[in-house]
Amino acid sequence: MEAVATMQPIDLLLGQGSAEELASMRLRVGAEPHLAIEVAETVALLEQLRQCRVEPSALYAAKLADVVRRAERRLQPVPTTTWRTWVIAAAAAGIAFAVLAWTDPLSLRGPRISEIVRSTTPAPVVEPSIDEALVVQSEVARTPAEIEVLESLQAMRQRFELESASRLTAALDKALQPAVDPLGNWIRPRNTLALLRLDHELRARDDVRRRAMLVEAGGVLADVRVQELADSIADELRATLPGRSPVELGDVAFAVRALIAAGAAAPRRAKALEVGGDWLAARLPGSRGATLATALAALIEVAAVTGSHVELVTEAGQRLVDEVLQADAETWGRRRPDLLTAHVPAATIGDAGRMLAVLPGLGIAAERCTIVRQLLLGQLRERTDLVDGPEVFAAIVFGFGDLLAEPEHAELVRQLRRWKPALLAPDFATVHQIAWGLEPGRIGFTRLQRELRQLTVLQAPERLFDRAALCMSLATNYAAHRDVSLLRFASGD
Amino acid sequence: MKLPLQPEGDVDFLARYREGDPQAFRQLVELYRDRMVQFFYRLCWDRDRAEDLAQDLFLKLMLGSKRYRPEGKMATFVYRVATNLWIDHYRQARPRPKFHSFDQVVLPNSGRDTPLDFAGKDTPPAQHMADGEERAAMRHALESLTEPHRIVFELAVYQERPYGEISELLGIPVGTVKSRMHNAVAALKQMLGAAERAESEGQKRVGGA
Repeated sequence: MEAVATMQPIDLLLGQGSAEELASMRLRVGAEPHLAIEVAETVALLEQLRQCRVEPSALYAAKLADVVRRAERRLQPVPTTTWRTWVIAAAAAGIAFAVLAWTDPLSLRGPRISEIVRSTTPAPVVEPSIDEALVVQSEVARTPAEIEVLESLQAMRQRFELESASRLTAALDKALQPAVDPLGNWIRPRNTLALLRLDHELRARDDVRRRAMLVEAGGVLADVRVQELADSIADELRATLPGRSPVELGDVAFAVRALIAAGAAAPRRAKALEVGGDWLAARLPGSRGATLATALAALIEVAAVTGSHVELVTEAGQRLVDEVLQADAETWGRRRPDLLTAHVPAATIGDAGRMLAVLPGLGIAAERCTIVRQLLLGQLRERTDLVDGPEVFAAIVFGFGDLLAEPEHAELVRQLRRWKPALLAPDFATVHQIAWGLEPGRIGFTRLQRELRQLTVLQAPERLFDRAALCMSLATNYAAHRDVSLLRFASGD
Repeated sequence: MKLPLQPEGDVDFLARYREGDPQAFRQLVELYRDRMVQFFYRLCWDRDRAEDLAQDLFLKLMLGSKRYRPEGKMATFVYRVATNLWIDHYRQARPRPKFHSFDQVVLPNSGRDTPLDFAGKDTPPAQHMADGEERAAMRHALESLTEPHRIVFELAVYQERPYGEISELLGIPVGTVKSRMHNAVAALKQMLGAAERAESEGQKRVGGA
């Protein structure tokens, strides 16, 4: 039992008690030195503890402004309608329905295109499609998986409604549109993974790398620098891992990606790649959210070029997708999944977007990956409403370029031209995403290559992460563009 | 229109909102926005979650304004909704080893009898540096209090609510509020005092080396 307490210094300081009790306590403090010391200690404690506060984020103000708007809307009087208005509206609706039923402009009475495709094409993915789950209305019995999908989508929509996250609502709507090319959505990532392996083998050849550099307005000196940086990264990975030195997961993930970008076929680098890959793989089971995405972005490349850790990466990839798409009381019920919160760096979201684009190549349902990618893209678009920084634009173009409509893509590339790589240093992570996000043939590509060449003279950054990002930025011409194989540069054999 | 006034002179914005004043809810939000995010933050130590909870609170106030009767203080009503929201959230977030005996002031393994580790074993060093060691120690100390003691301490010290009101909010006798408050203060003094002693001893050792 908690004993009923008499008055103590904290009560006096907080003014808790009747006027008589407080006066009597003051007298006691004046008379008893040990009590006066206790009061002084309590004052110090309160002063100290009152410093414990947090600075709200910019999003908080926006969220509250939305609540206020909703509160004010609730007070607006609902316009009254007469019976005549109702009759006219009902008549208009009846006429419109009759005309549509007669003409059937969307051919709703004919077989659905998606059904025709399904009947003639072997379905690559056995999971129920989101589209099907949405179409199911009442007469078809729903499987538990379909019910779960519907419940999750409902929870997402409720959260977006609560937060007035119109960008994310639009992203979800876009993601749920029927896939234009369901088979292609599965085959393309498999091809990308195969090309990653082929290109990685070709990158071991000096002549291929240098031809790629020359053709794409790069410079041979840049390749020399890339190889120097990759050697130092390989040495550091082998010296540090798997020892006890404290290493950040992000540093190792970037280092591994830089090795693959530079070409890791030589024994010295292959060993470093193996050590780095094993180190990351060991951390996959305990990782989630942004950390999991960072590790997977590197490990999916390791899996593609070396064939190792494939099962682990598939399992973790599935888990990452589920983390975003599965709703429970906490995730979506109370807050967004970790990966969609504002504290995840834009560059990490960009990396996640690029990784999720090839994840279906390992057998994970492409439509689920697309929903996650669209939501991540929506999250970045939300940020563009608040910040005008290159990291957000770069992350969108790098991680989600294939999802953008051409006018938006061109506008983002135009925006990115405002920032020069040499001036962005030492933020090489952003430079890397700008460089890899801008494809050959786009306006500003050649100029960007010229500007990237200026980075070859910079000193090697001390931190592994920055060094790896610089290495990748300079390796753009032969490592960045996944849809264009290096085979074209090897054809002179 | 005569403004509904509270006994302590505060305007009852919820009553005004219910009566149709469109500006009243905005003023209510302005009045409580910072207090509430700090309230939830010191209970969950997660800024995003605190902001979500504060947003939920204002939504609940908006939706519940029709049922609101300006019989007591508006502040009491706001804190009651906030406290219930936290308790609901806390229950949903279980299982976590937080609720223990109501007599227990400090969570087990919180290091009450041993000096606090300034460079904790579990927290990344970068976070410690960012928070500042003193802040980290304060946070550790506050986190170490059990939930019943922490919420009483939060309401009394940070939100400056009278013991009588806290007793009403939490549904416990005033004597229990007092004893929880006194025990919480004693535990915090002990933990932070031990931390300071450890720090000064460490400095002496470094100086003497």
